[in-house]
Amino acid sequence: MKTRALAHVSLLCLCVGIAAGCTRLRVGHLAPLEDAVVAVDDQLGIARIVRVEATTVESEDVALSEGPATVLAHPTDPGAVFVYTLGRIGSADEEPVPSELVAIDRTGEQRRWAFSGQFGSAEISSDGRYVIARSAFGRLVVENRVEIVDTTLPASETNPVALSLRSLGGETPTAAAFSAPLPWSDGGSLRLAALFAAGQLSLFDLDHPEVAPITIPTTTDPTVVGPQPVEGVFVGSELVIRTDNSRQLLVVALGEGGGERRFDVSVRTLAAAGAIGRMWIDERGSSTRVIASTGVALHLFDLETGIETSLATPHGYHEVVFFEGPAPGDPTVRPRLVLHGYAPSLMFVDLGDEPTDVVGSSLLPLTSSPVSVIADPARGRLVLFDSTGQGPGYLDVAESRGRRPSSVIDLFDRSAIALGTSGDIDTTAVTNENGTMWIAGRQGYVARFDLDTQERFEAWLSSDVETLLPLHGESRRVLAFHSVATGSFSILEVTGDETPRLIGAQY
Amino acid sequence: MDGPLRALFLCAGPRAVLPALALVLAAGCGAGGAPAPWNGSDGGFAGSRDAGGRPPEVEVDVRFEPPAVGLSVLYATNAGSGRVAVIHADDFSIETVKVGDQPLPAVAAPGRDLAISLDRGSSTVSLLRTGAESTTVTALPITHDVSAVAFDPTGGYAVLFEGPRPGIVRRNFHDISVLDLTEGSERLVRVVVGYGPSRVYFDPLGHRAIVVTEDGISQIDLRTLPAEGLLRAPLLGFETTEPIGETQVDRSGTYALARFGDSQLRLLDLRDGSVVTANLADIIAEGELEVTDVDITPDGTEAMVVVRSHELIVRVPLGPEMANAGGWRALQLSGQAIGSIVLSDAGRYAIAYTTTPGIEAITVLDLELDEQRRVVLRKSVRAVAISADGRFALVLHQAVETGGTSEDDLVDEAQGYSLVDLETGFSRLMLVDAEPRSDAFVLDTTSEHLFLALRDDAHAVRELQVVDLATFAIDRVPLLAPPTTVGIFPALERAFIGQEADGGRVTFYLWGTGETHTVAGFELAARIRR
Repeated sequence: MKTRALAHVSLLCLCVGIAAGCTRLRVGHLAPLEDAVVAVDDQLGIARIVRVEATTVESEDVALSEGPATVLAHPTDPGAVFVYTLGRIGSADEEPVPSELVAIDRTGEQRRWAFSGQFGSAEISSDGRYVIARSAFGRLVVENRVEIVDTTLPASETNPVALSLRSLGGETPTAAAFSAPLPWSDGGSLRLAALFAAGQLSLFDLDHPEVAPITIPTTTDPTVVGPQPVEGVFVGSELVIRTDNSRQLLVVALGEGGGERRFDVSVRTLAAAGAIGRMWIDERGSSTRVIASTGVALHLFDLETGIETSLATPHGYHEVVFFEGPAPGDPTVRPRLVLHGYAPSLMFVDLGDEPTDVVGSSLLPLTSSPVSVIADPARGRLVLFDSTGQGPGYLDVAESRGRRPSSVIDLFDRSAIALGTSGDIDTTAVTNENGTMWIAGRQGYVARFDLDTQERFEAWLSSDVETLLPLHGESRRVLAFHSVATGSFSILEVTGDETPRLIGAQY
Repeated sequence: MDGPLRALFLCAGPRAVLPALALVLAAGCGAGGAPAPWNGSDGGFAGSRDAGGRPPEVEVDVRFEPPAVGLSVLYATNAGSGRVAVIHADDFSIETVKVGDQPLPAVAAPGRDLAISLDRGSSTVSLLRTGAESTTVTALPITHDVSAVAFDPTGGYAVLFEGPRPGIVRRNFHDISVLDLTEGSERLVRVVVGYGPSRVYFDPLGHRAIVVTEDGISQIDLRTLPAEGLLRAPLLGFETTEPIGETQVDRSGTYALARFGDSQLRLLDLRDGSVVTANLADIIAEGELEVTDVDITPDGTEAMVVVRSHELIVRVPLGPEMANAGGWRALQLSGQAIGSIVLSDAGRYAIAYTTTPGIEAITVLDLELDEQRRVVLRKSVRAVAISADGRFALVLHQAVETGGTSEDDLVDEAQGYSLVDLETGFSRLMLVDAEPRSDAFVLDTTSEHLFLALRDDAHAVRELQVVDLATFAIDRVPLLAPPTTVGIFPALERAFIGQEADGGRVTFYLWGTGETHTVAGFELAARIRR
């Protein structure tokens, strides 16, 4: 264990090399980048990138279009974000401003795409490739219409591409799922978008948006609106759909099309014993395993054959962590999973090679129900947090505030290291690669805890810490915000014992 | 309609009114299903007790054969979309075909991949014929309401008629249609029959359709149907103005037997229209006569009459000699409470029993050896079925509230069924979590299995029980949706369990390996917009 270090640090105003930092921002959104943070003021139309180096910070402004902004984190590239601005409808005196999407990383603006009109929301696909803008607004709009940006391609006449949902009764798009490029029977590749709406989903060929979609209702009863698709995952040439409050998953299998349509579909369902609240895809077995949770049972389906097995689970689990490794009494490194959620226990499920093979299951009781969990499957570790009674604060994008660590779970040994904190510890964050945990309390107290070695390092900053924000990147820096609204933060280094440095307001 | 047949419709619906695996039900109908007196004259039977304080004996003839099972395919109707999903049981592939806008559940021809889809919303009938490659649909116009189908056993014809259905007032009381199934020459011939057809029989050669009506029996000669135009079928009556009770036709199509009043049977010779009357009062002079069941033996030579009031089974020969009480044979079963009888198709065994709570036994009659054996069970009887080959009986039990806590009390209060080896009298009781339904099992001796589906939605019971008839060992197959139908494809060595799930769901059980394979969601395909 490291010796306790007392470090009162004076305020340093390191406004070094800030070209555009003179304009004060009213920050509405904040997001971590690789050794940087981006702060968005949609009133001024500025996204300010604050790059954090070892001893300096510098900032760069990216101009945004008009309208309220949203920051979309890239699901697979933590160093990148998208800033989406809604635009503005026109008036007698002003031209309308369309919605716009800007790709940003620590080096600045990467790409920019303008939509044809104003859309009230945008979502990013699970692989980060596509951004869909929907909920068109204006004085007269076609609500069925969405526009989709392929973020791997620059803006062009066909990027964004517009799609119109085939509405069967006035429903409008609510979400979407996208396929990876699929090697297709015609020698090309097939890219599909699935638009979800109340009681149906429609499948579009993204390379041929002019071809009418295939629309699949979610019920056989033509007199009612079927359940709403809420989640969809493409698994190869099949799309697995979870619908709201339904006992069944819908599986849409893609097949060869005819005429101008390059694909056709067939559908089947996978049924559970109760309403399915969560769904996961596990491709670690001999064929794809679909896992569905009803809150009281976990159902494991072989996607290919539909064969199913289930096991009862305690109430409250709503998350799954997949990991591979040994277990007590079972040295075989095999696929396993652990369920957690609002329950004072963890449930381990040991899996075989076949999708429905369940080798065993066991419970690990906890002294309390964790309010949040950070998983590190590669290290076989979970960090569990208790609530301090208050929720995350404004701009606390890492949700560091209002929680304190309660234990570290060794998934392989199925044992816990109990962690205790004093009553003033109310802020916790784990660095991007999950190896180090930082906590903060009153009087500027911060502490670093190495989750591998259990070594501690303590320090006091000269100001109280409001939130902690781990940055992406190899340096694993953490920003300890003294004022997240103004960008006053200290940089906490994960390596070495050097004194944390306090940085003044940056935006 | 009177007596047991009426109770049948209240309990099981019209499609169950077909001959075959005889199953006798008691209770379970609720207030709306209380049986009427078999003579229908005084209304004193329903819900009443006899002089001895016993509850009424309730008999319901039920045939369990899922209506849409072909030789190798299932026909699953989606009434909402006006389509039928054709599920190939061999490779589990599915095709959907368009039928009428508001189709009734398709009815499949036994042993053939052919089905008929009737429609509420249009004046058409759809004939589905499944070949090696696909299913073709032939739509035929029809000019009257229809709700039921009966297939000629030779496969040449089907009769379409409007049968009685619970809660539905018929508008068509006389018109039926005969469908000539000759491939490529399919046609409908409209036939006028007696008032209120309820059931259609055929002779073994498929030459005659025998239509049971409230006026008597209408017979249609299928070989001489007119090439064009209509036909009025000749009607044979029972030479009485009394309301006709339950009417049965023997398998050869020679006789129709109907019950009249408290004790009278009338036999109509379908060849010449002659009527012979038998009166049970001729041999029972003392006490109130309570006839609770009558069945024709499979060989058509006798009627077995259960006289519950006197613990008596009377064997009455069919034919002109029926009127002579001296030729009847009475089997006294003193001390053995009986009220119903069920006969095996093979003809050797009959089982007499009562649905009176607290009577926990059945009497097995060996009709060949003229012997009887009392088989003691552990629970009261609700229904009995005998396998087609006569080797096994399935007894569905009543759950009787006792308020006690002993083992016997708990057994009495539980749902359950027993399987009985009729050769040896060995029986196995199985307590289950849901009431075994009379239309949710197959007792199949070709595969040596009993398949029985269990469903209780309130307690999330969804299960298939598979019983090996050789050992009486039971396997339980959990289901993810409530079962609705059970059937088998013997040639493919698999059973299927239809389940209630949006989009459709059928689980196949491969009895050779014990594996299951489920197809689901196939009905959604019918609504896909392309």
